[in-house]
Amino acid sequence: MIVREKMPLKRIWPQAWRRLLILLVFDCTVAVIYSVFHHKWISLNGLPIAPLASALTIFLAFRTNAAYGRWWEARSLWGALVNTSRALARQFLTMLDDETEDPRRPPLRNELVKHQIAFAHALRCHLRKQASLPEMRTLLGEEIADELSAYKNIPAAINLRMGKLLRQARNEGMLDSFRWTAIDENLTGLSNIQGACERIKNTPLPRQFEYLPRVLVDAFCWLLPLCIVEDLGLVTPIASTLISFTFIAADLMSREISNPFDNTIHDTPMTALSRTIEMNLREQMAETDKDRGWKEPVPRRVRDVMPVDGFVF
Amino acid sequence: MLHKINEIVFATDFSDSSHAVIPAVAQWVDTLGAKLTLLHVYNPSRTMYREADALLQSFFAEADNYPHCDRVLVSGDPAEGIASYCERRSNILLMLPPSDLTGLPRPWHRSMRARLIKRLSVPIWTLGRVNVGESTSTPNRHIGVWLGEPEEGLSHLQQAAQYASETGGTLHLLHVVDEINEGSLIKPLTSGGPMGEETADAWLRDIANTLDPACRVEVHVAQGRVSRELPKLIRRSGLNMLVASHQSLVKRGWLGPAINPIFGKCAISLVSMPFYSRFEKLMHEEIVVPAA
Repeated sequence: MIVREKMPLKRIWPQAWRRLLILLVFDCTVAVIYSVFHHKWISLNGLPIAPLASALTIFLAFRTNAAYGRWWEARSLWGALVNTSRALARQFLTMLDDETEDPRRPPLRNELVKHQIAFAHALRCHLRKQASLPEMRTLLGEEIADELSAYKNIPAAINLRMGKLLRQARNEGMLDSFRWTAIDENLTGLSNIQGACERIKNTPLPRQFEYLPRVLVDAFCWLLPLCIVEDLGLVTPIASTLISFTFIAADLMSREISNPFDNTIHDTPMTALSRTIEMNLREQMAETDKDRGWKEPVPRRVRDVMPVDGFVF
Repeated sequence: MLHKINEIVFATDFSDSSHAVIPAVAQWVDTLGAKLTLLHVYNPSRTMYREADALLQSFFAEADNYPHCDRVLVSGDPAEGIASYCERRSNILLMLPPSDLTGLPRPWHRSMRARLIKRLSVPIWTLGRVNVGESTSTPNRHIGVWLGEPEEGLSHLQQAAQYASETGGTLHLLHVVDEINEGSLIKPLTSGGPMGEETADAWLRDIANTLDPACRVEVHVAQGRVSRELPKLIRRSGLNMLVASHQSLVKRGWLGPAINPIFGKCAISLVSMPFYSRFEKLMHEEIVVPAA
């Protein structure tokens, strides 16, 4: 996600330069043919270019809205994940009766919270098509990571493990049916968030939304110099290229934000959000451990994620 | 060599390309179970240590969750800093993402990757070009080996074969025979490479027979311009990774070493392997001596 105030031109230029260069050559050719060689027939001054531009703007705005809708939905889903994670951690830490628990093993409530932290990290990796097992080894231990390696969908497997741990807690008399139902609702919420993120990741914008605006922008940019050459003469290339750049940049920008889970600068900042979840949950866990007199053998220290060069990932 | 790697050095300048290759880095860490070192070389006249350190600490933040991850900040010339860091270590894989696309001609550009590949005798991972947004982390199940000229040696093949055997992957041997034209008469004077498709196919099959029988090997030969045929061969064979020798990956340019343009269109992982005389001797004994 871009958090800097200015968007440098060099980020648009690499994708736009080829189209703009070809258009500039065409614009110069048209201007020279009209103004130097006096071939007046090349001018299409009668063509209503302004209504065409308006129609194109509507198309582009429609596509930009659809792309922004996907980007915002992705961000909202991760916001919901932060909230659900905090709520689940609170439930794990306060609803489990641990008086009957074996004091020699790590508390079950902490295991559940660690699984919740791992879920957020695993979902991030899953959406970015990145290997999550190295992280799972540190967060959950070698044995559980090896068990998870058998699954293709690791976040779903972690969710299942949380369900199994809750059943264990119930069997050990730490949880009654009412509290189990309440926690289970939030676990289902996690599955829903994951499913919605996967839907955005796996379903691209309809191809018509991708293709048609691009073709129309190209058609407009090719017609533009022919329509303005009579009025502007040799200045046509400058005006035409500037106007073309505006439309091409709008076309490119909307295309880039339509995929919010692609490890680019336009991404939902999943690294920062999963780190926030981890920090919050570890704080809550440490506070509860202090009250109950439990000390984590190796406490993990995590830092906040800062923007890199104005971009937060 | 690849299978013995215990440290992955990811040299980063925090560019878009560096971010785009993160999934590939994670894949290598997972496959090799190696320690990860994030290396950044900053220019002290432009950036303060504190700023550079803050950027490095936040770059690839999820690597903090890896069992072994170090962040190393060095000041000075980037190529010199990376080279001197790598020279002090053994059994490392250096990961160097390509530069970001600028969309502008760069006639005076000197390739840092090419200089490092030429100087260092460690395996180097890179990409021909980065398609930001496209995944580069596909598992390395199909490993291609580029066999250009016999003079470039076969030690990279030996190492790729060992890696393929250990990971259960398929090894693909790739060669493109030059087009026949007036210049073809000069080629036998400079190279002992095969001149026809059948000869090339036989040459590759001879080589394949010397490899570990447990390793699945496929041979792919084409004829034509290398820059045109190589991407087609890569697509046809479904490669995830291409192993080439240091000599074939770098060519001499006007301003010093440059990345060979035939690999410029490759969007798959490229692993450049150094020349190891031990492997060369072994291959020579297995291919040339029995033939004689």
